[in-house]
Amino acid sequence: MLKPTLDDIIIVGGGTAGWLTAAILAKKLNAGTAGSVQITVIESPDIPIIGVGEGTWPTMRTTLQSVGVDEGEFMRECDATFKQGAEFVNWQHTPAAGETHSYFHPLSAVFHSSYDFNLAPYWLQGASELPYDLAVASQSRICQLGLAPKKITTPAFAALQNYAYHFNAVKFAAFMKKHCTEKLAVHFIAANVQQVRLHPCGAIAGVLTDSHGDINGDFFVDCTGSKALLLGEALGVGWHSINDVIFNDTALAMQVPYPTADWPIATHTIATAHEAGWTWDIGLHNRRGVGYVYSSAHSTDQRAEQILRQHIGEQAEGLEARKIKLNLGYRQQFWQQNCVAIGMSAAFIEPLEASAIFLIEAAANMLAEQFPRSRAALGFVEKKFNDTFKLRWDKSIDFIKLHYCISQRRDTAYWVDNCADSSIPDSLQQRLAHWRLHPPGKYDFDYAFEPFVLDSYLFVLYGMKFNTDLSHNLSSYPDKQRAQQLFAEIDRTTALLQQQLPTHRELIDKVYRYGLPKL
Amino acid sequence: MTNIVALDSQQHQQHKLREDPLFPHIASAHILPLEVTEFAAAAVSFPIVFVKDSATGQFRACALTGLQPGQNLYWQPSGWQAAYIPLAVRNYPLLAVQPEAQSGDYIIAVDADSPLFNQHSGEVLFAADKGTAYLQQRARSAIALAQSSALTQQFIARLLELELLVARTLTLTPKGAEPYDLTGLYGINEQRLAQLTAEQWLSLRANNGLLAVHAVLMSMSQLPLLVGRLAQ
Repeated sequence: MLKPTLDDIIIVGGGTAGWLTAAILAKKLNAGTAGSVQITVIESPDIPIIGVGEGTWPTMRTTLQSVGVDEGEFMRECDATFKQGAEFVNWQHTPAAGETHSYFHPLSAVFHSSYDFNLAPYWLQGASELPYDLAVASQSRICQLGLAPKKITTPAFAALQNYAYHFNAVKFAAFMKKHCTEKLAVHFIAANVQQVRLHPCGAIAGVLTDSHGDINGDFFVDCTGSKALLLGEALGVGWHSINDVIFNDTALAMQVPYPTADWPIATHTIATAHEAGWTWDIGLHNRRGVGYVYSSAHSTDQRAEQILRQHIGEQAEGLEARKIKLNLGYRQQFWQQNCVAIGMSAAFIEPLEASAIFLIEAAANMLAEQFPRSRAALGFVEKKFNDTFKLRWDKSIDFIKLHYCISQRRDTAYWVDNCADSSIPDSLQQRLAHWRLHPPGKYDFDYAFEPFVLDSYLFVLYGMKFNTDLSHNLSSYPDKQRAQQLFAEIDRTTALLQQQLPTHRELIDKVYRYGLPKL
Repeated sequence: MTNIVALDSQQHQQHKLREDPLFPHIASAHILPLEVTEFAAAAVSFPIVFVKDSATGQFRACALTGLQPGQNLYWQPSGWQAAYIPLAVRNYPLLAVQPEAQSGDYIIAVDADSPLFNQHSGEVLFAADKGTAYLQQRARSAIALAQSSALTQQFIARLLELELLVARTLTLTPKGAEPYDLTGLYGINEQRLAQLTAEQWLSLRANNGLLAVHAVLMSMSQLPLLVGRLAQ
């Protein structure tokens, strides 16, 4: 007979997903206090952690602050740097030899959000001479200048320009593990799970481990990566592949040290399009993480390595590239019975918009907020969780696809295939058709938990020079003066920030040395 | 600007150190660094506030001597207008620095750009490659100040741990001018102080922290007097 309450939560798998989930659950559910749930993480001492991407979203600031992490200490221990957005190089059209072109997708939707007053229709009519990304956001220009998003006197987790982090995912998992076990009353067992035992009703009863025998629990979180030992293997939940939409199924990664200790650190991810994929370039404190994500149907591994080495140049000499197979798609269900999958066991899309860690935070937050302490409530929460995460992943896939499908590049079969209507989800095609005649507005993003909203779409659409024809409807945009004022205000803000902000490298070195003030 | 260099018996053999009771180097300083050991004495003269060092983001304790950058309301050409003179002001242009944290060894350094440090007038610093008795006495007080500075840092760290610091904005309305805010100042949160557990309260006793907390609170009564100086 199953007991009526869920008191023991077993998280199988550590890594970024396992430890972040443990921290969020432990904090929200007050683990370690009288009457609270018990949270245990079982981590294999043998399976290495896959760093599924070293970029986060600004939500990570709230997450770390809420679980009681010291920002300066976190940054120092995880080689972390500030991320203010992404720069997309050579995505818009096929570059001529030696030519590059780019646009920014900055994270600040704070000062110049299009939500209250949408500058896009005025920009489309030529109200600013600058490209869209530079016209509407100070932050694109701050990124170009290599300036930090804050000052050393700005309190921890506060920002002058919105920011997220780049970090070393292996070190981050170790840091969170220490935080969870020392400060958040999370139990830790180092063991390999060999077998998953089920109740006759189909719920998970426990796991059999090599060094700690049977471990029973009431609720299980599957953070075992793409193997999905619990939800996939034991419960038999199938996988929904998205390789007809997103083609990049392989990555080659390299760690490139800086030539000198005072080398400038980019404060944004640089994503450069190539013939069969794109390269990421992420500046950590002591090295860059650089890699090529590509479609194995459109490129051999050998050719891919050649592209990656060419892209990095002589700094790649003598460095080894690590190959990672990516399984693109998501589980047909994320939650079944008393088991939920979080992280790569649940889903994976290529890292173009750094959504992996964000979706881990989102899943852990929802699980913590809605955790069904009573077994009778399981079914209701299961359905809600499955519905919302299916939607979040579908929306993420649409947004990733947007970067490809409005490109003018046709230099290889890869780009031709990516722009073919048959590879574009209907939901995205319908939006694009509407946006050919109307600029995107806030009512196009009406779901509370859409991962990518108005500003993000505007930056990508108009960064890619997407054509919205307003000629039939100019009378709807009479506020030209207000638009001019806002563009001028953005110029003034930029000038002010430029005076005040240190370089990214300068701030990082200071944060590592002094930490950040608590208030 | 300052130009801090280590004192060197060879290089600075001919140098002398002069004292100037008018302290011209702080004529336009609106804050002056204070150490926790000085709080009780300083509290009768100035408001004691906490500010962030713009180079490090770390909090430090200061006497508030002006109501806007560039203004020192205690400084007059005729002489210093307060009963108390902060130690760092008296030690200037000398200071003691620890090349390695926690080592206990100090190097005596000097602001080489200060006119007090020159080859013409003042007390001789070196004789026969050795520091004179005058230099030794000045060096001792510079080291004592550096040691208090470590206590100040511990005290501030304790305040932060107990969440006792709070931002304070002074809104000033000078006669015939626009009101403005003096920001970046932090004080002790009295409400939070009253909520401390007995254990937390007792933990403040180390290094005379309770005296320091109350000195800061009592020094707030100097604020209206400081504002009054503006009107004079």
